[in-house]
Amino acid sequence: MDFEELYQRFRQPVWRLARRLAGSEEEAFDLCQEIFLRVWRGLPGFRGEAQLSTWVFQIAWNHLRAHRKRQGRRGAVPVAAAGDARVLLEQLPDPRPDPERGAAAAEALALVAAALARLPEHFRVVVWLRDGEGLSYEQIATVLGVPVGTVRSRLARARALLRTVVG
Amino acid sequence: MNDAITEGLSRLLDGDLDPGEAREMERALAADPGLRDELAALTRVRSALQALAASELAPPGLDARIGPLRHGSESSRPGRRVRWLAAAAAVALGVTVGVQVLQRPPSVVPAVLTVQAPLAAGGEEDALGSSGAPPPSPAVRPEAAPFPEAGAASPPLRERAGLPPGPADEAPDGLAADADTQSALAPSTMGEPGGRGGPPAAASKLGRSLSAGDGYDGRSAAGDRVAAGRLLVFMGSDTAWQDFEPRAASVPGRHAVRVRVAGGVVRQVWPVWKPLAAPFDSLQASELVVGLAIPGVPDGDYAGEVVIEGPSPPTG
Repeated sequence: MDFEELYQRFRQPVWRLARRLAGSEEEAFDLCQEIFLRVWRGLPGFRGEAQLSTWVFQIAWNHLRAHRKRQGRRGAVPVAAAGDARVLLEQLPDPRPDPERGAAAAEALALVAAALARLPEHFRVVVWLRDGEGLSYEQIATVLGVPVGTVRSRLARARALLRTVVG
Repeated sequence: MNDAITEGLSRLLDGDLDPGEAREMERALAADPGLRDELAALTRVRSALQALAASELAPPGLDARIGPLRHGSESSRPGRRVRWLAAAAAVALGVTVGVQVLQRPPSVVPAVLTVQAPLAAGGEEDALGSSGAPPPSPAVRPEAAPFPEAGAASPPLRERAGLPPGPADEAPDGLAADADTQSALAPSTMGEPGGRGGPPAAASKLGRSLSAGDGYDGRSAAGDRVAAGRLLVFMGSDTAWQDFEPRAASVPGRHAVRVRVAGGVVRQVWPVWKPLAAPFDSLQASELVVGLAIPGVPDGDYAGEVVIEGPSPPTG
């Protein structure tokens, strides 16, 4: 696969992942560019041991994570204990409908995006890769470098947290 | 609901349970309406995330940014471009000589909408100032190459503007191989106070610059500033801009907008959608520049930015 084909295939997914983890569209834009530069550089060495999507997401995740570490930011929400769902729930947006804003689809999506942004990063990335991008548990585990069991538990927690807003 | 059941439902949703586990879960579901509701809610969560994914498209500017890689050349690799744009534009209250440091991609928008209060009512003439149509942007270069060497045209521009070297002069045109180096050379996010990639030390006879990355929040020296505004229209690898005189009540700050240009005039400006932004406030800020003449810009929709500098609006 040449780079152009790869870019066309992964442009949107990489953008979306960057958007999920970056602090702004602008930051996501820069990060996307850097990710694709890394992909471009690594493509000649890609021998197909992993699925292409896993490989690309892995590069993206590693770069995004390194970027976050450089920035000294862990997640959007300060979490005293990552497993304390109640703390997180209190920080999610009020799920009740706002009569002034109505129920337009864009606003509903905005609510989802906002709720997602408030999840701790390790929950957010798992639920996004699964539900937003359709990766399998095994692929997510490979991308993130964690056991499949960790993916299962984080995914369940992330969905449960989002459920309070979306469900 | 305990964690095991939560995880079981989540796995059921994904078809991850083995046959035995699935049968057990289905029995539990059959016996517990609350559990069925929970499963339905998790299904809605998944649908919502899928809808969000479907709704988000990469900005068109990304293609241009990645262009050199797509054409197999790293030598002209995309990077955080540094572009110095010198402008001498007459505004109602005087002449501003500003230097615009654009280190951001054309279709990217600043992160922060800083509008905090409604703008005063008034016609377009008020928004544009009493001097009539502003002078044309000096920066429209529709035929420019996608990735001009950063700074290639900048030194003469900067010299003409009589400006000292800015911090971005040392920045490379492309991405450095080392990530930390990239970070060190990278510009700050627009609107981030104290970020890198700020304006040159000397910028304007009015004592202020409308440059990107200066993090101006409108709070400092509010009383002794003369209000000024600039609309930037990002067109692929080029940028056009016009200065204008904002209304006194305009709130200083950087406002990400989309711009519709037709017949050399800005016909519509609307805020970039931000989930948590105050949409009405940002719309009011955008109204400032509607009707602004911006010759040389082909008809179409563009990413843009409205930068307003000047006295803070009355508070309280």
